[in-house]
Amino acid sequence: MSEAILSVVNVSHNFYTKKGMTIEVLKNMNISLYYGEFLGIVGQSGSGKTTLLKIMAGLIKPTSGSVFYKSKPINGPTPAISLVFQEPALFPWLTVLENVVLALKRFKELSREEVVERARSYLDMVGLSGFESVYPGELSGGMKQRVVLARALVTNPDVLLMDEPFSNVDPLTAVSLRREIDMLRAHETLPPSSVLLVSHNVEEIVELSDRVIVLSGRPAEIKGEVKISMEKPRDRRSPLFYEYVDAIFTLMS
Amino acid sequence: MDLLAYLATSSAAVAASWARMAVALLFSILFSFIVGTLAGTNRYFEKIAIPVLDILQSIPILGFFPLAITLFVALLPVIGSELAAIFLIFTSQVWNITFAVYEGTRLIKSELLDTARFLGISWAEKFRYLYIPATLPRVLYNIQPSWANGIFFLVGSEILTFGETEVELFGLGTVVSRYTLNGDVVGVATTVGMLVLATVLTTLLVFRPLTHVAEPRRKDRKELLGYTSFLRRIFGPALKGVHLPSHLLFFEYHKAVEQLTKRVSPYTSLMRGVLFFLLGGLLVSLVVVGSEAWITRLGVLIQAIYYLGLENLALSAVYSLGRVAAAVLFSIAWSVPVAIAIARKERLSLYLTSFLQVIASIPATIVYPIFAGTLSEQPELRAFLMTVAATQYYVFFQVYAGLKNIPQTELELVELLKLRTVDRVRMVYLPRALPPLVTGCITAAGGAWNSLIVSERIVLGDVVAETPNPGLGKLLSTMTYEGNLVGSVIVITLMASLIVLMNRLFWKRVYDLVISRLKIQEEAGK
Ligand SMILES: Nc1ncnc2c1ncn2[C@@H]1O[C@H](COP(=O)(O)OP(=O)(O)O)[C@@H](O)[C@H]1O
Ligand SMILES: [Mg+2]
Repeated sequence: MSEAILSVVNVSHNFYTKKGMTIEVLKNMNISLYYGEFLGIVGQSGSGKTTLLKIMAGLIKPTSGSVFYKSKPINGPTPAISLVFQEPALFPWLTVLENVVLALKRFKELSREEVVERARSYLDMVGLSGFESVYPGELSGGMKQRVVLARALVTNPDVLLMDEPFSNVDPLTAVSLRREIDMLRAHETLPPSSVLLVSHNVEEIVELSDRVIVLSGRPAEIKGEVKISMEKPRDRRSPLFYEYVDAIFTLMS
Repeated sequence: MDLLAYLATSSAAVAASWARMAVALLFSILFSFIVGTLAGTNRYFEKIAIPVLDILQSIPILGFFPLAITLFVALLPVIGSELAAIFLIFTSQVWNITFAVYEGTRLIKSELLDTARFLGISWAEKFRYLYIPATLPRVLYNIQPSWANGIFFLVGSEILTFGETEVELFGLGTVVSRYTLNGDVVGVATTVGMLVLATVLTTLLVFRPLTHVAEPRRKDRKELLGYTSFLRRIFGPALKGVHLPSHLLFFEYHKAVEQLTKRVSPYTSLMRGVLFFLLGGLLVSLVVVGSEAWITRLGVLIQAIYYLGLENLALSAVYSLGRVAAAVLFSIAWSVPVAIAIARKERLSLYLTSFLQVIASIPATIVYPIFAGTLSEQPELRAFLMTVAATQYYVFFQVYAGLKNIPQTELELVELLKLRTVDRVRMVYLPRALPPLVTGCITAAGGAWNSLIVSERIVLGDVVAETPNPGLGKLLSTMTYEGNLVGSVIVITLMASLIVLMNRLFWKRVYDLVISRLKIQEEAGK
């Protein structure tokens, strides 16, 4: 077995409501994301997937347990780990290009030209060349999600975390987006090395992942794991595909 | 004096006053961005800042007068009076902008905040790329009302009198007062004309373009369908400025306060507010008394209250309340019928509102000096007229805008259903007019309280025009001219407490009642 690039060790997380109630969201999670892997995590809505991703990205400090990136504990957001939110979170008052450039602000050593050059090439890669000076409000949901993807990749992250990236996109666009993510992944020289996709949609998880972790609801615990050995691109109508989907549904219920 | 000299003097006066207001406005915006953002992002700061701001904004602006003069002139004798004037104007402009920033900051989506954190951008960059753009439209929209507020208090701010200290700063306020004292009608007319001209020009050249700055960035809130965006592009210029919710101003404040009161029960928050006031007033008075031992200071304070007389204070409060109520009622009495009568008549309403807008842009305070010499045998009527002049337009324009904003679809539906007039009024006009009427009344009452300080007792050179009956404004003015700092702090504390009590116990209830009866929270809140 290869080495883990990102590992979640004994993580539990609670939220506390204003009325003083405790909501247990995550319970004793242990997850490893390996080099070069496309990992899928599936769980029902409200089971704590977003919370888990935010913890892995360093946005939330877990109640207990810790997250390690290349064996070093994570204490806050790092450019090595990128996150794509459920909602395409773009700054509406910045153009598409400016939105991507924003991700490079923390690299003080890059010149203005280098920054713009790099942002442009990533926009080109997600198929948005020509839209640089457009405001997000004028883009469709799918295009917005592409901008977010460009912004997430422009920092050359080792790990890409995606939180239901296709849920706000119309079905047809989702198909092409999934294909593009797959193609980006297959690209040898391009980062990221590993991708973690979180979703409540079993089909899309099976379509993309090498391995799937199934979560239970409230508090989320790991129910089981399914390895998927199918050639890509995967045909959603093949019997094998359905076997995997069924196996996961059985674990979920 | 020939006309040229008049023109030169009045334009110089406008320029001087405008410069003062611009400086104050810059400080207001700066202050708002810092305090509003902090309050919107830091929970601990919010808990302290919002109640304090709430109280500060309910203190009638002229009430800052004695303190500001004493403080600034004592600290910086040379430019102190100029700074005091700017500070006073600042206090009349700043609060609504601060509430706008606070509200805007709180409404930023959590995803954007997370993204900003995630991208690791610095604190300064967060300001530049997140907080400022997110709140800018609201700030820009609030600049014009702030400016109008500033003009209203310009006259008071430029003539700084406190006991022995008396400074007149060259500007609109002083020039008008001097012309009035000399009975120079042409002078008054030119200056007021110049003021109106400057206001119109500033509105056209500065405020209108400013509100448009934010527009292309705003339309992305909801995704526009191709068709809608096409329509927008064609009709955009014509549509601009029409859909601004007129009652937004009050809502900024209302929502901010509501946010706070949600967290604590209404009574504790009310009690806290009043207690804070009384303690704050006590503390300020104790500090300004300035003798050695704290015990003797307390003694001086009690003495001052004794000097004012509890009975006198109570009676003054009752009379002032009565005057405010009379002014508000009078404003409602003419505004509502007129607004209903003209709202659906395109041409008439255009002419009348343009005319009223020009009239309303003449701040009531600037014509107060003219009042001083007149109606000397009817002092209560004079005070009433002055208060109404500061009150009525708020009500009229709010109701008018509310009626104007009735969506076309509702009107068409009414036509389609062939409703009777009674039903029309009940189903469409009333629900649309009532909430703005209430917010108009609240603003108007605030304006009335502010104007009482001048309208109950106006001093112009040697002329003192005051109401025979007591009043808090009269009392405050007397204290100010006597140079009685402790006395004026006591009066202002009482006055501000009354305003807060009225807002919380009366106006907020009326407002909630109207909203819940009409079940239009959703639309009204936007
Ligand atoms: N900031 C928060 N405060 C309190 N409860 C929260 C917070 N964020 C999420 N929750 C709760 O935690 C649970 C899991 O939420 P989330 O991680 O968003 O689930 P998912 O992404 O799987 O739909 C939900 O019940 C939600 O109500
Ligand atoms: Mg989620």
